Amino acid sequence: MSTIITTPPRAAVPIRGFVLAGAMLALAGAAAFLAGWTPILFSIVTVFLFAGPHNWLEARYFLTRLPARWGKLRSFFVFAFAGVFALTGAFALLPWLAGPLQWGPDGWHSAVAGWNTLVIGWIAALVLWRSRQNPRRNWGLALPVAFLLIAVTWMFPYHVGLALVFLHPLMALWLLDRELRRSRPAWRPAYHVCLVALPVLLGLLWWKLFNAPPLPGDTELRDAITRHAGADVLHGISSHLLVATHTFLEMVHYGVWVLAMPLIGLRIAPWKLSNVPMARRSLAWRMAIVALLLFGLSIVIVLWAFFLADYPTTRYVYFTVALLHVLAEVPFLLRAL
Amino acid sequence: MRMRAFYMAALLLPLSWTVAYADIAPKPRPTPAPIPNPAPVQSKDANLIVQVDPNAKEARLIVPRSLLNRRAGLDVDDGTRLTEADGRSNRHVIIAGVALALAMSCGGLWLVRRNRLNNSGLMVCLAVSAGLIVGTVALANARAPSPAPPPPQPAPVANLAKLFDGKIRVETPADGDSIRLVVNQEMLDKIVKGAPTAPQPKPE
Repeated sequence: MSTIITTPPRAAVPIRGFVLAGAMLALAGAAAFLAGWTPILFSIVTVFLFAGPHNWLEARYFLTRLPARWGKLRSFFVFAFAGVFALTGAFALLPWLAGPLQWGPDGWHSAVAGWNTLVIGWIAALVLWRSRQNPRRNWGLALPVAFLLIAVTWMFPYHVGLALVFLHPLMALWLLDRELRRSRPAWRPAYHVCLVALPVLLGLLWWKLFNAPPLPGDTELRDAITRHAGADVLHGISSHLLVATHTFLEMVHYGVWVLAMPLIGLRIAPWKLSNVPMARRSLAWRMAIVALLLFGLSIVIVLWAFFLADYPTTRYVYFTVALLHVLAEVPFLLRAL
Repeated sequence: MRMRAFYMAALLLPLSWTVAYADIAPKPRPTPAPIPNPAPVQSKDANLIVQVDPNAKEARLIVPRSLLNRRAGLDVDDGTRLTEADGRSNRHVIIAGVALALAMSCGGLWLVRRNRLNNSGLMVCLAVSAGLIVGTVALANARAPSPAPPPPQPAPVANLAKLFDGKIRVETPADGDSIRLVVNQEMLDKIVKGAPTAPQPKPE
């Protein structure tokens, strides 16, 4: 009888992801501290630094996940991208329509609830579509859940919109988990330990700030930041707590896209296109993708310039257009599941 | 099958009690006098210019739109910000109700189609229903929320002399940042005449 005891493969797993786990924990801890200490300044600085680059890296990552030829997935991707652009356009149009159509509170309620309904319907359609593709999934529950969410959104449209603001940063964590499962399965246990730290850090923030005095809304920018975090929807909750929570989650989101995804998902310098399937189709496709990435880079630089010139206006415009990347994550996450 | 029907009946029966109980009129209680909740006064600092136009036939008050326009009550924190209760109409509740009904029917179909309604599934359904029933009863019998305290009002200014009482045309041009009051000489004289004279120092 053999007495040799082999180390089970899983025993070595956490150590291999130790560096990643340590870096992510340190980043999350620092983000929580800064978000709680000086939320407005932290929000301003992080959006200025990472808003553009994280979008560019996200687009670069999605290019690696898009198949060279869409084949049977063509309808899925066409519907997904059409939805992304149409819904973002509709969202940007809402304030423009409000004036001519003379929306009062009732009009705004209908408009926001209607837009939320379209988003929920679009996501439900994608979920059901994806469930019928290989590998097939049993996601029939999506329809009743979608109708339930639609019911909630017609009663509380602003709360549902706010939920999207707060949950969107967490979607990046889910995508990272799927990417780890695909390319670095050995790192997943360490990553899951990091995920446990997230509610702990949020709990610490809420414990420290639940009765913090509200942040002064003495400037247009401060007012915009507190409103973005839901201060005019969640009455009775300290705006300091709301902004700190939102900024912390945003920083985690930026950390995933700027640090973790390039390290794990791309694994080569982002300007090299060897892992972009569509770039291998032909020279024309390759040139088109190079042009697209260069255009994206120029947008990043222009965004920085505009932030320096007029931060409040640029921030407002950015968070309207940034919906594009929020919605774009949905089809890619569904394909990864 | 009979067992399933029994479970479903057991699930539905308490719901009917809840509906019946929630619809019972509350016992008459002495109600305190309602607190008046006047619309909050909104204020904004602006420059005022009084101009005399000899050709003016009527007084004109010109208020730039920049001092009037507000985006859905979101611009200032004066207690008038958009809240969930604002804007919700019966139409919204009807749409929500239809969606809820569709959610329940689709959920039921999903449960039945895949034969998920086994014993454990039924237990989960019963537990969720029991939670909903308890929640509904608790909510239906909760005290009505007390009215929000009225926002602080600026102190009323008393004993003001009336300098002018007449019709005025209000204009809201797109440009400018000052409020202008345009009057003719006759109106100005009337205003000046009506102004209380400042107390003169008594000669020693």
